[in-house]
Amino acid sequence: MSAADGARLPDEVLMDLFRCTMEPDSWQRILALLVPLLGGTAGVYTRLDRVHPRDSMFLVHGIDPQYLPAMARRDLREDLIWRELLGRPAGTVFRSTDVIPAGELQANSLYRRVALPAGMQFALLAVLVNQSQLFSNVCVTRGDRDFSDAELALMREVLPHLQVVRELEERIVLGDAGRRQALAAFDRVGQPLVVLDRTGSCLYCNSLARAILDREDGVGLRQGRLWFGSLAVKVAFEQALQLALAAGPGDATPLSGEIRLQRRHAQLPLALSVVACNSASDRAILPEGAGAMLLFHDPAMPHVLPGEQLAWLYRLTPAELRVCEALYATGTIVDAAIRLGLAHQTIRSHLKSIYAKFGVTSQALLMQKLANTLWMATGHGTTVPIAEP
Amino acid sequence: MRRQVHPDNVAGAANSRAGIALPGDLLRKIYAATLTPDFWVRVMMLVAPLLGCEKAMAAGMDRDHPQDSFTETIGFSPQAAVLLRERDVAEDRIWQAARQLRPGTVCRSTDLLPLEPALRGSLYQQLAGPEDLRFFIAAVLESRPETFACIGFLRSKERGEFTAAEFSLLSALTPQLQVAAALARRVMLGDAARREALLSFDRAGQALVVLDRSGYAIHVNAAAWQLLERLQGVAIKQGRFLFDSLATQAEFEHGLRQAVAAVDGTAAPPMPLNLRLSQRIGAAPLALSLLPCVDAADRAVVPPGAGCLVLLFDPDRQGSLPVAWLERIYGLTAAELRVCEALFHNADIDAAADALGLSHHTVRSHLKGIYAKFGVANQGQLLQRLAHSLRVVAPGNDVHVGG
Repeated sequence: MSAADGARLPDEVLMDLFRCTMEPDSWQRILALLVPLLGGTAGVYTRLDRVHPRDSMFLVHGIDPQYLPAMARRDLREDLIWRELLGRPAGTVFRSTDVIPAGELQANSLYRRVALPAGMQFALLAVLVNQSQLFSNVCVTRGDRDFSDAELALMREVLPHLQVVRELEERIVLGDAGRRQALAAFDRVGQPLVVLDRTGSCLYCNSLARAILDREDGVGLRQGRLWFGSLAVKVAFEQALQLALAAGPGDATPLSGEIRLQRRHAQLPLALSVVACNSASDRAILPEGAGAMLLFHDPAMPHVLPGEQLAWLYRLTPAELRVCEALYATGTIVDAAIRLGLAHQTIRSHLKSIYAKFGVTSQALLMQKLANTLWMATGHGTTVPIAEP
Repeated sequence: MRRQVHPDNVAGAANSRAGIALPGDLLRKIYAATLTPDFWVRVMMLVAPLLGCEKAMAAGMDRDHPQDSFTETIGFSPQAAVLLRERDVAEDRIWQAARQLRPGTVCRSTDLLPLEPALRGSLYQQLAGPEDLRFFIAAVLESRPETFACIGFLRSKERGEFTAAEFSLLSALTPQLQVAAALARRVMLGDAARREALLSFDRAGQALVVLDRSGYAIHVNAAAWQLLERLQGVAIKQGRFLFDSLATQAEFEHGLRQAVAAVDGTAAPPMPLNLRLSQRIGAAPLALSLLPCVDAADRAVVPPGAGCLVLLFDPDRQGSLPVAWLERIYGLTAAELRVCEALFHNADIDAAADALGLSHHTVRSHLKGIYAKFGVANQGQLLQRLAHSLRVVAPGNDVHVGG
């Protein structure tokens, strides 16, 4: 049913329109609302990003999929309406027949090929944004008759709302992506993380944490809840969780519980800290309903040096790199020698040239420099591949 | 005793009355306000005049996320605004009565409770008298066991009780306000998440420069400024990267062109360009990576218009140990922490002992305890553990987003 006769946008429709912006398929829903409202049979939303062309979007509603390739392939220079759209300022509403008179439609090849067979002869178009970086428009079409003045007026009334809707949708999409990125920062630095809700159920578990939970025999995840092999640890965890949940927003230092989990077959314990999610930054990053965070710290977990980058940056020979890696892993020259199957003296002589290349005078300083290169592997994205110089 | 809310006076989201047409301009302004940080104030400013009020308050309580609780007011004297913000909610009877209502309900104060007992509470004596408040109309926007939000408009005795027309207006507006409030929340949280994601570079101490497509620096974080100030052979002058070496400069410009072509979509993303910048003798060289900003995920984080990211790696960087975290996880004593820090920043035990003003033997005996706590057998492994602790992320420990 078209609301065009009243020429007034019903408040309920407007509310639905804005509600749609929160959904993942927002523009599909918005078009589904808009097309019947304006009495059309099909609709198109276009977003053209001139700085980041990959962000450009072309969404359709009510068009037979067989016509989509032809629409996508069309020559934009041939498309008179498209040219007209790009030249109009934001807030403009017009009919296709304002650009191409109805009598001349047949002569236009694009129309003959695409618009007419797809039942999109008449279009009602609105420019949402037309800036140097961004162009965006929405278009409602039908095949049987041209759009009336009342429908044009209704589109004029909807347009300012659509402009707000577009901005909202963009902010929400970017915000969600930002949240995923912020959460991915834990993965980038290799920090296992579990997010619990206020009842202690698992809301989010990154792959590093999942690996620990799968591997360890003293702690695991069962039906979304943490279980512990030892009762004492379970009690300690419950207490720490309660403390974390009770932490108020005003508490400068989040109350937290440190739990030591003695492993049966390994010498080193697993550290588990329950951290309150009580700051605005936690709130921004973590999934809705987060109550507490669980950070694992496995002292036995090997940290692998980014060998390729290390060798490139300090111009190390392959042998020197191996010595560096062995020394970093074991901590002593003797153990490094055993690991590499080399004589103590060989390691020592390699170390001399390594010290010179790093500009250090002691093993302790070398360890620090080596540890610093760990950052290179974790700058942005999962790894930063380094091309051979 | 609480009086029953008359059904005729209650208009929920489901039964909002048709026929009340809200000014289209008002709705557009309300929804546009969801994009701004002061959403509630704007909404109250827009709606209050329509209801014949100068004073209004919006309040939300969130038990899951206490930091999301808020009280916003307009028109109150500064003291009254503070009083409202810091009020004891248990004592606020209108709040307590409204707490029982379903979301979408509009009610007047006189629907909720007789005036006399309300006025007896100290909160009302402090507020209602001095502020000349008598009538109150409120809309419950959200009401769940863990969360509650409402918006209320107040006026004086002279203005009289709210009329049926005003009641209908707020009833018609309430479902729209519910949607707008949910949107404002999503936008606010999304913006905060993007700031946080950008901050994760700062928190990791990663020097980051964001360039636009022409190579102009549009974002330089604090770590990058510090690094660039200290470094030789490279600087940002008038927003552009300048290298002392012409060869490096040419290589950088070439990499930038390639990256921008990738952003344009005209070329496949190149391998990130990596430059090795030699520093003075004895200092580690600097690594510089240039990455095209092609992923949507990148663009969600970096400022709009970004063409590529420049990451600077300083192998000489010395971070400060997360002392509080180490204390918590490894159960170190204050003295042991000092020894760890000294050892981390000095070459050997003797230098650490000197820095602390302790004897070699004292440091050694502390080290025994430290080794046991870290589960390590030697100094090298301890240093490795300490270096790894630099990478520990504990959000909320040190970083706070604005607002």
